[in-house]
Amino acid sequence: MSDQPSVFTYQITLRFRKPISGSVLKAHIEAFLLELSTNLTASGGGIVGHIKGLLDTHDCGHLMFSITSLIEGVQSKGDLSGHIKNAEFRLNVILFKVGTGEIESVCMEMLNAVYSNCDNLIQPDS
Amino acid sequence: MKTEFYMKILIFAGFLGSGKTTVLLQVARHLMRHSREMVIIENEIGEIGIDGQYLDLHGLKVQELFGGCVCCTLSVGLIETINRICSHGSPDWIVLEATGIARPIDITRHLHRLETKVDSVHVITVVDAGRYEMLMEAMTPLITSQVESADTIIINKTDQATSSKVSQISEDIRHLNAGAAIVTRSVHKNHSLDELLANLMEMDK
Repeated sequence: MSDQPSVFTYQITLRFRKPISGSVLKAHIEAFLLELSTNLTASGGGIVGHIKGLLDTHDCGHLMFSITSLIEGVQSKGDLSGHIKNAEFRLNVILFKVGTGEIESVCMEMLNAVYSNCDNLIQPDS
Repeated sequence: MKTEFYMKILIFAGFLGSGKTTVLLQVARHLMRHSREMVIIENEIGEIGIDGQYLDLHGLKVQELFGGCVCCTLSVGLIETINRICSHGSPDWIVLEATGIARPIDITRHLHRLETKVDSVHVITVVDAGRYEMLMEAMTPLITSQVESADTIIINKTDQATSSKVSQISEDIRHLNAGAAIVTRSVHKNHSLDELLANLMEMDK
C-alpha cells in the first residue's frame, strides 16, 4: 500500500430557505457521510483512513462527524440547538487505497444530488 | 541564539481517526486548569483545517499547519512556527497534534533546530482498539513506528473491542515498546487519563 493517502477537502456554506432543525440536519449529514463512505469503499476492504466533517452554525452550536469504520458508522460530537438558517460545512476525506480523483468525483456527484433533491437548500451560486 | 526559558513539548501521534484531537482537548483543558501557558499546533494533511477549528470552537488558541506533514514536508514550517511562537511569548507547553501518517521519531529529530531550550519532549501515541489489528496488517511500518517511539500509548475506543482483544493489543504494544506507559480509554471512561495527566503535571514541576 502507498505511504501517502489520497486527500480531498471541501468547504461549503449551507443556506436553507426555511430554517431546519438541528436534529434533522444532523441526521442528513450522518446519512450523507455513511453513503459517501460506502461508495468510496465499494471495491471492498473497508475504510483505511478517516472521513471527517465539521458543521459550524455560529449561533446554534457545532457538530464534529467522524467515520473510520462502516461497522461503527458515523460518530458525532457536539450539539445543535434550535433551527438553523446557515451553516458552514467542512469535509476532509483522507483514504488509502482510493485515488484522489475518485474521491473528488464521488463527493461532487453526491453533493450535486443533494442540491438537486433538496428544495430547501439554496444552490451556492444562486 | 537560544532564548532563556525552558518549554516542554507534547506530541500527539496516532493513525488517522484514532482520537488524537479528543484526547488532546482533554489534556489541554487539564493544563489550562493548572494555569499553564500553552500553544497548540495543529497539523493537518488536508488544505482545510477541521481539527483546528474544532479546538478553536472549544476556546483554545491554535496555530495551524496545513497541506503536509510536520515529520517530512512541513518540518521547516514546524520549526519556524515554534520559533515564532517563542519570540512572542514563553509558553510552558507546546502541544502538537501531528497528522495521522506522521512518524514521531521524524518530528523529534528536527527539534534540535529550535532557538528555544526544550526541557522535555513527550510523545503520546493514540491507537484505535477497534481497528488495531486491521491497521497493523495494512500499515505495519507506520503503526509500528508510532507505537515504538511513544512515551505514553493510549489504547482508545476500547468500547469497540472485547476486553480480551484489548488485553491482546496491550501485550502486542508492550512487546513493541517495553518502556512506554500504556493506558486505556473509551468514550465512557474519560477518567482513565488521570494517571497520564498526573504524570504530565509531574513533568511540569
